[in-house]
Amino acid sequence: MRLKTRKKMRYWGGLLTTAMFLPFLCVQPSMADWSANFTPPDAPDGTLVIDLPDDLDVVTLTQLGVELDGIDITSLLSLDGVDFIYKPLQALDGNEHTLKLVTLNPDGSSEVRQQWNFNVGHAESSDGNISDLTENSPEIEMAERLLRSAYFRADTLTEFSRRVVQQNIGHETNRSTLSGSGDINTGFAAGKWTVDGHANYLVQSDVDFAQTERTIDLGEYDINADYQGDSVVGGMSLGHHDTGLETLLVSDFYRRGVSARLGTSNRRIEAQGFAFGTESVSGAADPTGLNNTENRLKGVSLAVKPFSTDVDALKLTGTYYDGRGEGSGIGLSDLDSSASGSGWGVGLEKSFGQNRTRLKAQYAHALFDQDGDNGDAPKDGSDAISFLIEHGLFEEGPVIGNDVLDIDVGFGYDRVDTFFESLANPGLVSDRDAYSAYSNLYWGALSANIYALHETNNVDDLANVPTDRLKSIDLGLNYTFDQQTGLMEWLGTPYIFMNSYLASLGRVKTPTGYDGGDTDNLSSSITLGGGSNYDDWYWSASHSYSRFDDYTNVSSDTVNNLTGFNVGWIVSDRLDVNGGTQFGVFEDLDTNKNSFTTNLYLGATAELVPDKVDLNIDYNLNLANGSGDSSDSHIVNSEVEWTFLQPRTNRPGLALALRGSMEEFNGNTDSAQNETEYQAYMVLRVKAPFSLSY
Amino acid sequence: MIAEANVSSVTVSPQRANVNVKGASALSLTWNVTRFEPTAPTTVLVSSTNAVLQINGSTVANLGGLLSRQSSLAAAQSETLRFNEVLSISPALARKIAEAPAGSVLISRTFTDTQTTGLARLSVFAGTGQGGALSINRIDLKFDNDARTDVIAKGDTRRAIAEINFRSSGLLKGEWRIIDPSASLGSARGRILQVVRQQVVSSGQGRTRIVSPALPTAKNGLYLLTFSVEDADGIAELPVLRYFVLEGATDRPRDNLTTLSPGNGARVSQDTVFAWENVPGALAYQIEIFNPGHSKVVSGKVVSAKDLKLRLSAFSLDNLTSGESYDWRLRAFDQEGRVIGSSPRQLIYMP
Repeated sequence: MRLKTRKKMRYWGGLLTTAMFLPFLCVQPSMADWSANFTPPDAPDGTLVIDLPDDLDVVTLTQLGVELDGIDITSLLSLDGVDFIYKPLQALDGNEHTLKLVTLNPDGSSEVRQQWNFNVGHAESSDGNISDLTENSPEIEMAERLLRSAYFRADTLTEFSRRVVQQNIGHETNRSTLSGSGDINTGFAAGKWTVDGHANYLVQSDVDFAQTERTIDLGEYDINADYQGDSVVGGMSLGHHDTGLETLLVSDFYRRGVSARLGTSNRRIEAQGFAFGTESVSGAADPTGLNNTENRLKGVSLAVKPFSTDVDALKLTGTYYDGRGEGSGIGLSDLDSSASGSGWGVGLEKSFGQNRTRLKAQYAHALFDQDGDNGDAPKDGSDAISFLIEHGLFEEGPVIGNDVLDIDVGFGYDRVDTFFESLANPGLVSDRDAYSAYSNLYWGALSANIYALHETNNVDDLANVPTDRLKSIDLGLNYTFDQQTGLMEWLGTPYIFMNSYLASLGRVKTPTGYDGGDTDNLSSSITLGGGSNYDDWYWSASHSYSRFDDYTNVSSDTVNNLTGFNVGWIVSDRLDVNGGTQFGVFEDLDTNKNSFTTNLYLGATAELVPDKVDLNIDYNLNLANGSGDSSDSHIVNSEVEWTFLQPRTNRPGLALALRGSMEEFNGNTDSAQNETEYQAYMVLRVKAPFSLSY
Repeated sequence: MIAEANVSSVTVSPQRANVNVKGASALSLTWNVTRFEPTAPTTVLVSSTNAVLQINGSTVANLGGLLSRQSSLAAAQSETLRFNEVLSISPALARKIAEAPAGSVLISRTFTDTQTTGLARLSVFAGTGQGGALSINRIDLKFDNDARTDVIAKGDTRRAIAEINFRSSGLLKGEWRIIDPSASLGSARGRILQVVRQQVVSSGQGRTRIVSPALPTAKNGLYLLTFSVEDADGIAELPVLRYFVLEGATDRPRDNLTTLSPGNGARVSQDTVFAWENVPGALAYQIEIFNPGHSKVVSGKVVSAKDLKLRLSAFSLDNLTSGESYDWRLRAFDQEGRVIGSSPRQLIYMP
């Protein structure tokens, strides 16, 4: 990728230079009656030009700002003479856009001086609107006028690889392989409907390496249709998505399935129905994710604001689900397998004092059979409750040293029965009775938080289970400094952070006759770090210290130190280098055995011949010695790519690459582990990006 | 003359064991059977049909299978035979063990050399175990946009997240390991992307979230990524994520950018500072403010990548109404106009 530099003078940079000479310039009086001309872009990624009067004085110029679709883009304007030039960060879509030239007042307010509405490639906006349409309109014309925008974008890459050399790579693979992938996005907006779709696919002719044992198969996909009416909103989703629910029963549940939602546009009523597969799947074999009745759940949720829709309105939410499932699949490893479950829950959200105090309470009841209906384990009925109250200490935070101080405090209580489980919240931690308190502090670019927890287990008071208690406190801190100038310019834009905690685990209750060991330990950890960003390079560093003391002397006391350092440098438009290292020491204080880990990474990306030949190379060193000794490894990965036909949108490109890796393992005391592996491939690569938009 | 060998002792290690309250457990046991031959050389079969789980003296289940081994001894000679086995405790049995009176649960085996027998037993309890040894029982691996199979544009920033459920407390020793495209068609060892050492604690069951460093996206092709961890007794096979890197501009990164302030739900004023973490490769950052639940931007500002913070007063506030709540998010763009970072939407309130 070639790094391009802006040739035109950056607006504020230019103004700064100009301002230095202001005292020596003959400043003309402000012209109150001037006007600017606007030239819209002729393509989605074209530049916007605001043609200002040639004799506009500098003072007026410094008071101007530009907004595009509500976003202040002033700081990225280029100045070409006295014309404002803006190249959109992202290609503009087919909708109507609004550009405003504003005058900034000293009190921070602004006045719109001129405003232009435009469509890409059109100097004037369309006059028609949807309400003009009648049933007598020809269908095509009606569709064209309803269709506000549409797009199709696809990025594809297909490569044919031929292994030209190999040594000790361990297992048989096809010498010639066809592989590739594609990422497709499409959508349209018509009337009050917006439909978006996304899908990716993978190609792998050596099916032993394919994700689904098919040469070409779908990866993940999602289709979302949304209706935005004047009084009703709704929509549906198909494919991989999340319901957005964050409850005791349904949370962080991203799977393939289908959901439908309906509500009022003022969000007074929001209803949702959903059905998902419980496994995480890819491929086209089960397009809805719902084919397997043993791995499927369904549910509904309803949220109502019964009294008002203002910012403090009371919101009541009800949720129900039932299903069967396994907790395994792509990205998941879980000992627990087939289970059946159902549950219902209610939630309450209410705030007071214009959102200053926020209250959230939930209750859920779950029925869960951890080994399914055919297993011997009983189906458990269990409960969970969660309560959280948060409060902003200041109605209007005090300004200290030019920065506003804001502090939130919160208190929570959670009680989750020992056997509480939900198929739609598989990561939920059950068997805990926990009180927590926290505070977040924000002061300018400083953010800090503190979190205290008191937690016990054995909520169901089982006879053969001891009750342990965890007390912990966490403290975190982040601060970003201003960009340093003058003598301190060498510091760049620095930042620092710190995370630490202290946790004590002890025994509260030991059942009579219990001889399963005591619990009494202390864990502590602190991580200190920082870094800085510069125009063309950055660095970061951190050090972590962790200690574990087991006062029962069953487990070893341990200390771990881990230090990391990373750096990246854009040497030129054509060369990036970066590197990082980690050094860790793990000490077993009881056995006096230490183990050491060292990792080093060095990488470079270079454009050897502009737009033609690229080079990527990296070197990795992994050392593990001491009591945890294992083979040292040195790994080099590299690729040289010659692009003889640059891909353009809707025109495929071709490239030839030589890529390979070499891995050397050194067993140190065990020479049997000494081994060198290498492999190299010639690759013919077809890159084909497609894009259509309306 | 009939030989009269003796099983002189049977012991088991460990003598106490803990099983999980919930779900299945595996108990690794070693039985040591010591024989003595007082008279003449003999060869006998030493065996045990199965282990027995007893609660309050009543047999609840037979566990394991036949253990047997030939034993040949000369006169006046003795030997110790070692039998290793792993017993599976089903969720149903774990439940019975947890509910039984403490000290009433025993697992025993009786060994015989066809002439004499010997028995050993261990006590079984429920809970996190002696000394609270850390045990990993679930790993959920995904990218920061929630996907588990992804196609990523070259140069984009993407991270992986490991959601780990564990029992007890201790030092989590893990490694992010990756296989690059240059090796993903051949070797399967890969390289260490980052070593993770994180002290984790819980009163019984806990959960932690580990975020990977930015994943390599400089080369076209298939990458394989996993998070390997020690003490993963319950994990039969580590999960592997795969992502393919290609040239492109259509990627949709979601929620991979970390904002530092203001907090979610904060009441903001003109002096409120929006601050965020650096995204390598960013050309500019764009703060966007929306009406809650809507996608149309009502206000916002673009700043260059050197800026990692911005005061609210720098925004055009004309479109923001006092007394209203808004969503805000931050997006990072690279040189090519691609969105390489995006933060989750968070709520702010204009007093």
